Amino acid sequence: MSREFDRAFHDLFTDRSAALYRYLSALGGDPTLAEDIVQECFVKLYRRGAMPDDPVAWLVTVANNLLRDDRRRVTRRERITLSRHAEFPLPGAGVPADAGALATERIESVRQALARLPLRDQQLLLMRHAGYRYQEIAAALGLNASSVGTMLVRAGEAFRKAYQERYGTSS
Amino acid sequence: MAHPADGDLRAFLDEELAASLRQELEQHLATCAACRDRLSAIRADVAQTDALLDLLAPPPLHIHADTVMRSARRSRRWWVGIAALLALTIATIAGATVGRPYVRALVEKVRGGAEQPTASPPLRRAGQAGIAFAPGPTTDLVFEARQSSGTMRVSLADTTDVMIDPTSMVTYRVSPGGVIVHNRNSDASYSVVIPRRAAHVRITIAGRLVLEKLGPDVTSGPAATAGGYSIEMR
Repeated sequence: MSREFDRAFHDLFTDRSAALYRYLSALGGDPTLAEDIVQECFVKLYRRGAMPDDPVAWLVTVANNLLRDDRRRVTRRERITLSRHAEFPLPGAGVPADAGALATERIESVRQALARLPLRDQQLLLMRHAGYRYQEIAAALGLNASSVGTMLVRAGEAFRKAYQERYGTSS
Repeated sequence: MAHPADGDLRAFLDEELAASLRQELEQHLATCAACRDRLSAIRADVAQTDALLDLLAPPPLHIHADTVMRSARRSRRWWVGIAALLALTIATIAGATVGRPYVRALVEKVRGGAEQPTASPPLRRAGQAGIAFAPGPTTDLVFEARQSSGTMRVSLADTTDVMIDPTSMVTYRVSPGGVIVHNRNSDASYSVVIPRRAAHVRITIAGRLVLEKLGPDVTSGPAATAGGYSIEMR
């Protein structure tokens, strides 16, 4: 592995790993899994031995594939877990809850509102929120960069509507 | 300029409009109250969306570029070794079967290239600095022998590397599957740190499984005491 590649890799990791992690954590709802996927993406990139034409889009594409594969793997396990959780009261189902429980409920509401959007809209909103530029979003998700603004407006509206339906207010 | 679309206003807020379009839009906004109102509404929507998505912010990322590079190099060496071994086998069979000079030359060339990556990793010594390496899908920490004294203190932590810290010098050999500690005749005690997110870790002493961690849980081993698990090396 050349020194130039090592330096480019190091710089890319320093610049982009945190954004990829934030994006994956919000999309998958699991920071530990997100950290694993970030590591795996960069390991794959390093093993590749050369930078792709668009490293940011390459990383997001690989990360999305790994997350999708993981979701497929856990589908059955998740069903079992959910049925066990159903034996316990959900936060907010009973009377009052402390601030921590309210915060947890709110986070869960945000997750559920996001989950009601098409995957492409979730990816779009969360990539932008993690700090990706329009060109990067377009390249990673196979969109036209000039339509990203419009799609963000629509996805944002759908998300706030879904959240308000569950939680009542988005403020 | 005609009234801009919402997407253009959003791109304007995100500073994603080309300079010429941006200037044009700014001129339009200076004279169009309706578009200024629409811009304010979109700005408020974006702020609301961001505030909600901020709730999903994860804890800080704990991995570092150097760790990833080390891990990638290690697994790369493993694959290169396998590939070289495979190439050597095929070439040897071909050489033996066909026996032509160019095949023999190829065999010699592959042999020369293959020896290095498939060679056993050298023995190393662990003293006060200890051993640290990234865990694989299953990681075996193999202590070759029982000792007449010494204890192993195992703890789980939010680290990326498995760490073994002996109180006195021992030799060890790291392999893709974990580490073999040559502790015969040693009286060292060990502090072992296992990353919480390591998928599967097994610790054996003289072939006896003394602790197993599967997923987030220690599924086999002594009862947990404050902050860890204590195992006699005897």
